[in-house]
Amino acid sequence: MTSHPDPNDDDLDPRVLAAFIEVPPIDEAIREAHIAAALAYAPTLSRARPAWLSIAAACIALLLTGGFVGRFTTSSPTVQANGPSPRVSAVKNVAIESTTCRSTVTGARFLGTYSITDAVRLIYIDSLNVQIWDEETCKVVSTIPHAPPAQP
Amino acid sequence: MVLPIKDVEDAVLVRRAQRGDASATDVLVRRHYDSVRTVCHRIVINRADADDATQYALISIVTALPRFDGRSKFSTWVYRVATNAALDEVRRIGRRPLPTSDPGVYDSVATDRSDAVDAQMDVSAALSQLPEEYRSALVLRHIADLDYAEIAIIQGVPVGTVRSRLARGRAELAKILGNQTGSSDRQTTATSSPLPLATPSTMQKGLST
Repeated sequence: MTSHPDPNDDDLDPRVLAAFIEVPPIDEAIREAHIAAALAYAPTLSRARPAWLSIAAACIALLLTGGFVGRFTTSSPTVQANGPSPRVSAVKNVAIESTTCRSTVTGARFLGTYSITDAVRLIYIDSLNVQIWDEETCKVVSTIPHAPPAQP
Repeated sequence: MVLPIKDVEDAVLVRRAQRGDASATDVLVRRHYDSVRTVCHRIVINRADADDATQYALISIVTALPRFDGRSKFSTWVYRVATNAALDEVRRIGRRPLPTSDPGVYDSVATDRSDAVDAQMDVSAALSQLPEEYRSALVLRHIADLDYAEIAIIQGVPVGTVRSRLARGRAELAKILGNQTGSSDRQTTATSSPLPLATPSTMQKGLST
């Protein structure tokens, strides 16, 4: 408590004040539910950015785990699955899209970029896949499905 | 050296939250949760309604955060939002709650009564008899620790009115509690409540004045 300018502030009995301040403890689950519900009202930007980053981070994690190429459809042999693990930069949150590749990529939204030892990758997403493109060649390096195929 | 986010001060977190940093919003909400809940419980009294008010207050804080202009301390603004949410809840239910006749009040502690719990219930019962503007003034002064000028802004009245509301609120509270403030020989055993519980009849009397 800070000092109060008005002497009348001392009129509240300390024991009453103590009881005044204390409220019954709350169940932790209710507390978390309150907080979660409130955070759901946070501006859209707050939630959209982590979603982008989580997808991009997932891409990087997959790239670093070797075996990546064999598990997903690829249309380019440029990724060497058995080579040394590339050093990957953090995904740039505000990245500049390659104008050269933009005309090549169709129907996908640009998410960001990351760098490996000797190349820059571009990350795009469409309704079904996350696409990893090589900036220099403007070719798809990998395609990672992120949504289940539509039911027939 | 980069501080852990939980140690970052409010003003910085607010700016980050306003730029869309969800983790900053999360920390702010968690940091001020107890303050919001205490204010809501002391103004609304009834536990279930107070929990509703707490939820409304938190949602209001999150949705209004982008418009917080930083002219006051963030904690002051939080108290203002919480107070308004609590008062809205009181008006919404259209009645002054009667805690001692409501089995939902403090049910989680009813089986473990102690002096502190007795005192809590007595203060809650006494508060429920105070006019809303006295109650919220006392809450803002003694729980939120706001000065008179800040309370005046929140309540939309002159500082002098705040002063008189607090004085009358304290006087009525003392009267309801048996005028025991300041006494040193008050009984404090669990079997004898340190502060007299308001009965439904006395509370109705208080409501009718």
